[in-house]
Amino acid sequence: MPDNQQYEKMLTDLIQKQMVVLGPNIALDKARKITGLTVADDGTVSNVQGDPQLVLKGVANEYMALSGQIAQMTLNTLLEKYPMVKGL
Amino acid sequence: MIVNILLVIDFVMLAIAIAAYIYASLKERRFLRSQANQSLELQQKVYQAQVLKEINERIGYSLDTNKIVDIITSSLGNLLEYDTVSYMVLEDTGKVIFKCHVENTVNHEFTEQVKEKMLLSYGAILNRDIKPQKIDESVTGSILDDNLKVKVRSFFNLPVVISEKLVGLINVASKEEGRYGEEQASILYAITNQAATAVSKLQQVLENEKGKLSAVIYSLADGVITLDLDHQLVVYNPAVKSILEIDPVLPAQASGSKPADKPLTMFDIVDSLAGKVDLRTKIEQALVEDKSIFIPEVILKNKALEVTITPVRSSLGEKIGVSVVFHDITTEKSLEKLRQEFTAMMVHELRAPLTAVRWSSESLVKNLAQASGLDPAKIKDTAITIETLIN
Repeated sequence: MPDNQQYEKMLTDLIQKQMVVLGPNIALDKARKITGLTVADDGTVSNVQGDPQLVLKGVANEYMALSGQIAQMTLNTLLEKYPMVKGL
Repeated sequence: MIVNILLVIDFVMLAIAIAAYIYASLKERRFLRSQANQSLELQQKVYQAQVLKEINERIGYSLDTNKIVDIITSSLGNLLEYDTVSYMVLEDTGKVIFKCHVENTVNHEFTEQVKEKMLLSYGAILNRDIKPQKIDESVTGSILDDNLKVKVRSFFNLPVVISEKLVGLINVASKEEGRYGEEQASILYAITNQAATAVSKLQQVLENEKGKLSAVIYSLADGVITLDLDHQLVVYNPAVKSILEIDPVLPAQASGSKPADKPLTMFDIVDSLAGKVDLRTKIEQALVEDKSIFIPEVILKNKALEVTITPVRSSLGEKIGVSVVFHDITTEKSLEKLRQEFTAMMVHELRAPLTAVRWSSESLVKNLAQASGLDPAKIKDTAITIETLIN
C-alpha cells in the first residue's frame, strides 16, 4: 500500500507531465478543481487530504475528460513507474 | 413640521426611486449577462458546427492530417485571442513539419519557444525525446520583429489523436500572462475530439473498404501493383513476386534456415525488369499522356508477360497514382508455339504424299487416259486443291 508521499510524488509527476503536454494553465486549472489537493504553480503537490486514491482518480478523470487518449498514454507510463499504485 | 414631513416623504420617494433603479439595473445586467453567455455558447456551437462541416467538405476521403489541423487552426480567431497558432506533425520518416501563423507581431525567439514547447509536448506524449532529423518549417502572417522584447507567457497544446494515434499537435500561444484557462481550452478540446472521432470513423470505413479491395487484389492470378504519384509502392499482391520471380529476404536472415519475407519495394520490381522494359519511364509516360500503356510481350527469364500501365484517378477525377498489371502469358505462348510446330509437321507430312499423288496423276493423264477411258485429271485437281489448303 503506497503512502501519501508516494501519491504526492505520483500526482506531481502526473500534473507536471500534463503541464508539458497541455500547457501549464490548463493542467493546473484542471488539477485545482479537485478538492483535497494543494498544487504549487510549478505543479508540485504539497498536500493531499482525504483518500489519495480518490484524489488521483479525480485528477486523472479531469485530464481524461479533456483528451482521453492522451491522458491514457501518459497515465500508462506513470503506472509503469509506480506499480504499487492501483490501476485507475 | 409640515416641511419636515414633506422632506421625509421626498427622501422616502427618492430612496424608492433609487432602489427601483438599482433593481432594474441589476435585472438588466443579469439579463444582459445571460444573453452574453447564451451568445458565447451559441458562438461556440456555431464554430463547432462550422469546423466539422468544413472538415467534411474539405477532407473528403483523403484523411490528410495537415488539412484537419489547418481547418481547426484557420478559424480559431472566432473563438479566442492569440498571438500565434501553430501545428506540428511528426512524420514516420522522422521529419517534423512545423507551421506557425503569426496573428500579432512577435519575434523569432517567440516562434522558437513555441516550437520547443511543442517538441517537448510531443516527446512527453510519446514518452521519448524527439530529435528531428529535419524540420520543415514555415511561418506565415504578420512579420517577425526581433526588436520586440516578448516571450511566450501563456499557451496551451491541443493533441490531435486519430484512430488511437497521435497525428499532430496544435499550439495556441500569447505574450500575455495567464490568458488561457480551462474554459477556453475545453471548447477547443471538444471540437478537436469530435473532429478526430468523425475522421477516425471515416478512416475505419476506408480501412474496411481497403481490406475488401486488398482481398480481391490478393486473390488475383495476375500481378498487380499500385503506386502513388511519387512512384512509391502503395499496394501489391503476392502474384507479383512469383511472376517477376522476386524473392527478397532480409539480409541478416539470408543465410539462416528460414528466411523472413521482406516487403517488396519498387526497386525490387524495377531491378527484376532491368534490360527488358524501363518501367519507370513507361509509368511516367502513362501519367503524362494520361492513358493506358500496353506492352504486348516482355520476355523475362523463362516467362512471357503482358504489361498494362493505367493511371488511377480518385472519385473527384484527380490523378492519384498508377496501376501496373503483369499478366503471365507463358502458357498461351507455349500453346501457340506447340500449335505452330504441329501445323508445320502436319503440312510437311501431308505435302510429301500429296506431291507424289499429283505427280502420279499427271503421269496417268499423260499415258493412260485414252486407253482406260477414265478422267485421271480429277485426281490431280483434287490433289492440287488439298495442297493449296495446306499451304
